Amino acid sequence: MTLSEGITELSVVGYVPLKDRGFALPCFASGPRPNTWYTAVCSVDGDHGGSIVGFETFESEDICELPTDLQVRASVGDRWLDVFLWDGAIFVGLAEAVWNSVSSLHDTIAEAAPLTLLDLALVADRENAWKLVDVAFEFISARFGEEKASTWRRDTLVRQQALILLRQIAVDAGMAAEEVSDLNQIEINETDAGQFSIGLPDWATSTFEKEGCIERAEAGLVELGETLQVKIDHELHQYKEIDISEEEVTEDQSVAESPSGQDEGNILIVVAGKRAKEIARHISAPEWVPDWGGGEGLTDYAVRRLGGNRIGFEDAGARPVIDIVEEESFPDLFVRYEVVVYLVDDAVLFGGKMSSVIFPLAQHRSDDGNYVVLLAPSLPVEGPSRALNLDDKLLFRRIYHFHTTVDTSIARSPFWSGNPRRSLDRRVADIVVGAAMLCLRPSPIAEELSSKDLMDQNSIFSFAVSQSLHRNSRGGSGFGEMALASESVWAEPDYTATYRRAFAHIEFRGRTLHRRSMGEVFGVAEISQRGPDFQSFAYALVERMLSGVRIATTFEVSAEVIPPDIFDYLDCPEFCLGVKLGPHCPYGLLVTAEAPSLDLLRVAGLNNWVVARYTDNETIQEILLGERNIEVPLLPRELKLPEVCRLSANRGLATRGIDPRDVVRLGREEFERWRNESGDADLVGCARRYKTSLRDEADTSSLSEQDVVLPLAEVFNEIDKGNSAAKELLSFLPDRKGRLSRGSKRPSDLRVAWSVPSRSTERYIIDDGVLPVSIGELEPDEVPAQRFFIIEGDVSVPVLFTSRIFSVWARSTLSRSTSWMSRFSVRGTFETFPIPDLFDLRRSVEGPTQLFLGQQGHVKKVLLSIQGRGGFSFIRDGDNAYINEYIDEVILDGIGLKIDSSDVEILQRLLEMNHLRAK
Amino acid sequence: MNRGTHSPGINRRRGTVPDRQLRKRAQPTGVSEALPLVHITPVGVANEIVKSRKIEARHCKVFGVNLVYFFVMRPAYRMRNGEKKSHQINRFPFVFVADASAVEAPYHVYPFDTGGAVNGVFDELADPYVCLEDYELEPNYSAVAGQIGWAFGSVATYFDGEVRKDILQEVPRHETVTRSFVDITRLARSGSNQPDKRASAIEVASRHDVNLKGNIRLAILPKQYLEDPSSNNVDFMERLKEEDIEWKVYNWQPNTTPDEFQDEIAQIARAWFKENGFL
Repeated sequence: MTLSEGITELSVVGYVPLKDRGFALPCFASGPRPNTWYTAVCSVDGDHGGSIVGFETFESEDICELPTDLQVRASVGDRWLDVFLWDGAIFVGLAEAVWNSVSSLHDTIAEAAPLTLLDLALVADRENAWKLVDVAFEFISARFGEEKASTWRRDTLVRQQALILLRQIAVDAGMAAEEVSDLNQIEINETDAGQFSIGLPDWATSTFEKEGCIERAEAGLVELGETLQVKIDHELHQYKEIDISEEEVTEDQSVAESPSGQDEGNILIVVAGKRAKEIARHISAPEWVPDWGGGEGLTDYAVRRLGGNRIGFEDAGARPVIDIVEEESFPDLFVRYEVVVYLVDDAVLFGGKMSSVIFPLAQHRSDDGNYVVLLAPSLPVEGPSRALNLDDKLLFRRIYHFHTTVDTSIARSPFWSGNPRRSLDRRVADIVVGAAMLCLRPSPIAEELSSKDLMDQNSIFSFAVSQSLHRNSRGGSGFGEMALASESVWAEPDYTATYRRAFAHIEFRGRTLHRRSMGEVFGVAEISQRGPDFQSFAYALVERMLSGVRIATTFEVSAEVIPPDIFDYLDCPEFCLGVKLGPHCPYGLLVTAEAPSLDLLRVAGLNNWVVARYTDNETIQEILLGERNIEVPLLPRELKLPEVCRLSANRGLATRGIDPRDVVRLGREEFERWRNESGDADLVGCARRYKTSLRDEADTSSLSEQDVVLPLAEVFNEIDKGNSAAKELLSFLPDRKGRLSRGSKRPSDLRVAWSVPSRSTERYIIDDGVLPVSIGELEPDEVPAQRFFIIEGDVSVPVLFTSRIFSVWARSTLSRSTSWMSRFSVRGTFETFPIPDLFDLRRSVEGPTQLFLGQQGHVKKVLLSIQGRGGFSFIRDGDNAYINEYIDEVILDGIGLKIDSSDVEILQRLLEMNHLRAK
Repeated sequence: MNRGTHSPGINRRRGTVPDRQLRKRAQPTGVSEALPLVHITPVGVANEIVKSRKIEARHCKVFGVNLVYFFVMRPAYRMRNGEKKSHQINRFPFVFVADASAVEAPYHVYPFDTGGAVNGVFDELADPYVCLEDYELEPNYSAVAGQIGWAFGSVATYFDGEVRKDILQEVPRHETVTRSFVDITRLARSGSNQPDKRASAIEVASRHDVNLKGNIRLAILPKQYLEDPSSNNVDFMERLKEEDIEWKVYNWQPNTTPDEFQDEIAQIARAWFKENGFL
């Protein structure tokens, strides 16, 4: 791209059509009938909401000149101008102006050119763009098949929009033009139909972190997902890429080699299966290296993904590599790798046909004693891995070819010693890389694994690292207690490694390589005999939790015989522990390694047992504490739910509160001072009180002390008009570093928050992730913080959303993560919730979807009479208990249940309703 | 490098014998001789091609005969001249990917874009005393494989335009043609200030028209071709189907730079080559 220097203002004088309908290439010139034509360069490629950053000369024989009345002046810094053609008419202007000009043609264009209309809507009417995503998908499916439509959605829509978003952020952060351009190295994976994850090269992640943009990028991706009605993983993962271009080709450059041989330090990870691929996305360069006392060792690893759309280079220079390759493109080049890890799904490993890579790997293992070949089972989300646990003949035949099997299930152990904020998949990825690093020579672990004694053993390899060293319970200098224990390997701390059937027990130290912190790590590794002991593991877990809540003296934990018919509903019956919590406890507790199904919960309930997965801390604690009257059957937090569908009628019902980056926030005193000194009537009219907490609900004095917010886009509009009072507001922005972004991050949320509800409706807010549901009313001059969801309607909003059925639904669909607080989501919680027929959803053209009492006379009368009798309280406390119970009874009756129905029955019914409505 | 005062572009031989040093360097080890060919043209021309069901050989001013140009695998643009202007092809590219058998007997094979060379695109780096004809490879696919094997080591690195780092190790100083070629290839490397993938894209020219049916495997076109069924798009897509041409789309936007289009098209092509076992 060669910008024409010195040219800062031109006019759109012509265009080149791509087709006779849709966007055309705007052509600029100094005036009519020019000698030289230019095209404009946009701040972000493909962003119709971007700005013009320069002009470049352009030659074409196909330029059509615009009528003079359509020619528009444009300067560097102005918003991008579009030329749009439709059936002989020409529209020129900002995307929003074009959108409005063709408003009468929307339906026609959507029918003929939905992809083009979607491009416009993504800037001009982002809130409703999802409708066009559906239309476009169906359009392509109908003409070219669903596969082509899916490819379009992944590669053309989601990828491009994610790229635009990341580039907008990069431009705002003042990143260099080359870096902005190189963001096209992002990786996009469709992990499931309509579910995507975005990967950034490691240099981009570092730069985003340095500029403080990661959170904005992740929040933006969530918003993008909502806009496009697809699920985008909010967590950006990173991959490392070699920048071979840094190395100049020079005459005297010698061939780059690794320090002592081609294969030294190189690691190959072969990935097989869907789940394994999900985990492989998170693999990055090691954050620590073991120190075996032999000098510095290799530290600067290059991670290369040799599958998918990317290819690696034959030579990574002097750096050792971690190459990741999918099984189907398994290369015949593993002789270059010192350690090979086979990261594999159970379904692949135990499939009818033996994987074609196993024999080459086995050959590799036996070719040379210096190579180590590891099996790393990808960890199923909802239950134990068969590859880690069973000891049957088939398993033996499949794993015989590996030196050992890595215990990846430590990733979800409550005794995990690594970074607690890591997600489960990242933890497994860390284990895979860590295990490989521990097997690089001169590691004693590699020696042990290659020894004749161990060659034919069906062993399992566990390790744990931490940045602090704990004393074990015997007072020894050992590693943290239970750090090696998992659902698959029992490592009771009070017994010696020998007792635990360990072939080798090695303690080690290492160095961290993390960019933020340098330091020492402590680790322990064991190679032990296969054979899980889940009962001992779970027993220790329950005991530990009891001692943690200091009620051990009042409860007696004892193993209990589990009623036989419960076993029929367990996928892994050998992975459970039955516990009787003292002689007077009326029910038994079944601790499982799998997420329980609704059928299991129901049958357990019939037998007077409650069930919780061992990772479901909250539920187990609730049971142990007797925090509430334990209901049998009990609905735990971790569940194996069938697929839940999003319901089109619910779209627009819940809206997130405002993104703080979209507003200017002032303290009340600051606002009053600004208003008195230089206040502008228009801007003051835009000001809203900022609601950040539900606690001030009953404290009216605090209303006058609330902070005030104004939309940043509105402030910029006023600045553009020369309003000096508006300019002063910029001094209240917390971060003025770099360039300010003029566009809104979440414009649709902003629009809803600033809109005025109609007279017949109220606006309510629900606190994110809080159960029992915490709800409050929003005053007309208030806008809520991002942690709230806005829902509009009549009294049915607090009635329904504080009801028991919503509480059960919200709890069961809550997104849970090892690294983030549990959260509700617009789509996962609200758009899937089947609203009972007692209530009406009304779509609104301009504002959000609203919830009203249905027209069924009896129910309406009941609810209105409650409201009339002193009003409905949002708080489900003792004083209101009878009202709340009555409401629950009415609602449950409305869905065919009774007040004494269990949570499990309620959930079962709601799931049925969800599926029925989705049809 | 002192280039003297002659007109832009690599010099041509006028009756003297070319010194074709690159031919002796060929090392085809392991590289397939059936790598796909890529032809890029503006969408307007592509419409005509699909309508006429063939890519027609057109008169070439450089060689004075009718030719159709392809690059081996690399979707690099070929502008009409060497000026740093944006042209129709940059703004509205359309890509055809053909089987190697589409050009059974190449008229010539060069290690870079001869059009760019003659128009002075490589002048900054090329040795002024080496003539265009000196760079010519054997006019067959063994020479293509040999050039890739020697200069790049693998098809993957050829696709990326990354020559072997040690390529000059065994090249004596007097082997000026080879050295000049290596200098030119720097333009195609990812770290170049003015990246130009044509600088090491192997050019295959055909003297004959290339029929679409049975020769063209893939078309990469703007996504706008998927829609607007009332226009001639339906007809166009039907024709692609009739010619057994698979297609992929890229995201055409009026405010996307040519560089960005080129990157996106390269990614699409790369994925297709991988799916089909060429990479």
